[in-house]
Amino acid sequence: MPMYEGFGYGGEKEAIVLDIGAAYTKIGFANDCSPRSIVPTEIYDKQTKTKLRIFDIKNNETLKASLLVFLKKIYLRHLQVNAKDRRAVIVENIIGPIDFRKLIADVLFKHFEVPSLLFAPSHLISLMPLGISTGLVLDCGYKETIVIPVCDNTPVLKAWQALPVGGKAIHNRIREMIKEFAIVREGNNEMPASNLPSDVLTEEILEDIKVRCCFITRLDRVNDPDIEHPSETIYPLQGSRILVIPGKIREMACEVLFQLDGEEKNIASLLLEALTLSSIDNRRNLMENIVLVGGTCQLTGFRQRLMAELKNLASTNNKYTDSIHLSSFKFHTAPIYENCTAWLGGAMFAGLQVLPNRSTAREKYLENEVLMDWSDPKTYEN
Amino acid sequence: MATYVDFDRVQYMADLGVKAPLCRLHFCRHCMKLRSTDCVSHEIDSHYCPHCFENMSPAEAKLKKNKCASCFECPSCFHTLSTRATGAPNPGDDPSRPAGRKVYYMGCGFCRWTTKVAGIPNQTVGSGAWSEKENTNSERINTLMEYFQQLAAIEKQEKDKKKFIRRKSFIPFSEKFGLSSTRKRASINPGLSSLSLKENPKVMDIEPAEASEQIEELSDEFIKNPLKLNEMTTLKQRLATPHFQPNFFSELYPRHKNLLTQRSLRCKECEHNVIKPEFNPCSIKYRIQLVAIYHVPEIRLFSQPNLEIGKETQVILTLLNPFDYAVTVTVHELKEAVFNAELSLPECDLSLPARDETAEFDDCAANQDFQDDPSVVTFRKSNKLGFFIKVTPKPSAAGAKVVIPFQIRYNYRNMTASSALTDPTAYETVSLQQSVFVDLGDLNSTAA
Ligand SMILES: Nc1ncnc2c1ncn2[C@@H]1O[C@H](COP(=O)(O)OP(=O)(O)O)[C@@H](O)[C@H]1O
Ligand SMILES: [Zn+2]
Ligand SMILES: [Zn+2]
Ligand SMILES: [Zn+2]
Repeated sequence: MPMYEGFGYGGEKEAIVLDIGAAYTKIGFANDCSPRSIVPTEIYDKQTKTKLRIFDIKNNETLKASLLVFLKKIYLRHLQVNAKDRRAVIVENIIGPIDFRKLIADVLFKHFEVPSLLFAPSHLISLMPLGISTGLVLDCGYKETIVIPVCDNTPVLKAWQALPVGGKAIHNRIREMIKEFAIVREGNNEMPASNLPSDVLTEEILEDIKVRCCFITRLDRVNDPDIEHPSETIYPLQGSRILVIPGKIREMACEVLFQLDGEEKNIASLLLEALTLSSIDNRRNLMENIVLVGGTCQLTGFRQRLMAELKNLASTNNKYTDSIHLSSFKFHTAPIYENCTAWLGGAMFAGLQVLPNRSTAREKYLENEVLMDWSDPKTYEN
Repeated sequence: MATYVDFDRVQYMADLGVKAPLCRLHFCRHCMKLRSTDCVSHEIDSHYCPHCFENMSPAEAKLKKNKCASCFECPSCFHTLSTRATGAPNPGDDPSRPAGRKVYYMGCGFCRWTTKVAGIPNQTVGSGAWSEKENTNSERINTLMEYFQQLAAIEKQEKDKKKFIRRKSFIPFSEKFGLSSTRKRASINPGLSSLSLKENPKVMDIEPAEASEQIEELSDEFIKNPLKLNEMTTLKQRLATPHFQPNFFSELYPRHKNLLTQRSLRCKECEHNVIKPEFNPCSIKYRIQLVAIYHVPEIRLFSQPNLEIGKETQVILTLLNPFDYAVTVTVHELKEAVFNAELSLPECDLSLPARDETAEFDDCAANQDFQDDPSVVTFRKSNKLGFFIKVTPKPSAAGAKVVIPFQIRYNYRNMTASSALTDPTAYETVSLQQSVFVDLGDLNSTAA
């Protein structure tokens, strides 16, 4: 028996839905078509007077206290509802850290007293906004890129692939390239950017440079040694300092995503690798249903380049030529931007009347501190 | 020296071992205990627009998606937009419009963004005609939602009838997903899902999304054309409207201003309110306001002492009476606490007159009828006095801050006692105690 019959769905109080990403948290309600807000996953630290990324906090006690502050702001400022009145759905990375999930559950159940909680695996629910049940899902966000095939609404966990590249890796590359290639003007003076004090190029500035100046270039240009890069861009820093960003940075900084690493991996090879690990019957269906989620996929040129890389690797690398020749690659476009796709899936699932059955109720949690686990069917039996 | 900057040097012990400065704490009149923000629950009473102060109930705010219907926010710098009137352009363009009629646009007084920049047509009325960018995908999403609702309804029905056989579910989180054995079965018969759907005539048809192979390549022009930084939006601007994240400045669109909330706080233990605001957001009054500084005698550090290990120093603390009745405070040792200094606490009573708002303006207020011991009480002014504590830092204080713990006991008039029900002025006097921790700072380094 669901514990709150007639309360969670269809009635008047929609569940709250959060996708707490490494960089950005998407905040909203079940049945809505887009999040209400997207905010950085960080809190203001009174002691150091700086912003602190929640996921950078190592100490468990501090992390818990910070989560409390962060979630309080989400409820009161962004959702503007009483936590006690709403079921909660948290979109989670299936292969994410278990500790974090436990911590969230503790804070939400014990401090905020939410009536029920469900952790929804992001790759799986990302298919809902498309109305498909099989797809090869690539999530490229801030810290990492994770590929998981989903067949008939079942994540094929043995085929998952990951690489620690995403927005953060691009920021680091931009910083390195600025130090190496950029110059700074101040009045009539010019100096190499490597002379800048180390705290000038904050991650905020690097992200801004990425979003406003950089793009992902075409594959044919990467391999051309005589390529003429686009023109430089003048980027004002604080005070009278001006950073001159050469076209090379604009065009090449995002290459971290596609450079093959020591193990011949890049984000395109993750997809191919996942395909070879999936059963032959599903491969064709999967390659024709590639779903791109995560904010980094919104970089200009991302889709084009990923497609070109896939075709190139599949036809030239004999690791893949044998197993992947069945069909062509096809990309989906969800009815929302990539950074919100997983959130939208969560919001759609949270609007269904089966939500209470799939969630862990507060009373149950307080009794035994066990969360319903999506991968363990036993926990659904009642 | 008791300034508001270092107010956190004196901390009181609240529930759950939380220590906090008195100004951050609440006092529950019913439990007669200090409550930290962790031990009160926040509840939203009403919503209001921070710009026009339009006030609404939670039900109304929910309907309006927590946004003010009349105020808009600048999509560039998030300041509130103002409506401006301008003469209509050449009326010859549009013969149906009388010449000289005013038209309106919205503009930002901070960054100079206007609706004209966005190419939004001027309006013929000053207010009410503006709208947000609509979500062009809503229809598709709602269709999908309807479809999933129907599947979920079937699953629920089957389950209620106990007919639910453990077969593949139509929606994610099936009773049996995640297991490799089921996955194998599903892949042997990939059509199962659609088959079962057709068996059931009650489910609507939807078009699953179509993936595409065709993607337009970046053109040479795009790559070579110089970039105008000002024409690109920042990520913050993009993320402000999640359903519409434009790359170009010219595409920014105004959005409704978000509401703020008025909240009340409730003691988690007894469920009584400790803070309850007036409904009107313009009012700065509260119906219930049990902040601790009005309900607990306050200790402040008078001046920064010079401390040395092994040397006795007189530290001056200030004591304030917040009550509208006279109070007697006694200071005691706090047994369970760890000390890094020896303390010699005043042994006499510290008596304070009632708080009197007018006394501040009355220089010759007669408060000299107290027989103070000058070795304990240093000064007195209306409801405030200074007193000495003798502190001798122990060797363990080296390299650490000297924190002195003690307890204050005082008489408190409990107005919520049962007798108050019949006579609102009746009260019951109870003796309360609070644990206080004063951070005296570092040892004097020059003296070492
Ligand atoms: N429109 C955009 N263009 C380029 N990068 C973007 C865009 N939106 C988000 N990003 C980048 O995507 C990353 C965040 O993606 P997101 O999926 O929200 O990550 P996470 O869930 O890991 O926090 C950030 O590094 C951000 O800079
Ligand atoms: Zn308003
Ligand atoms: Zn503005
Ligand atoms: Zn209480």
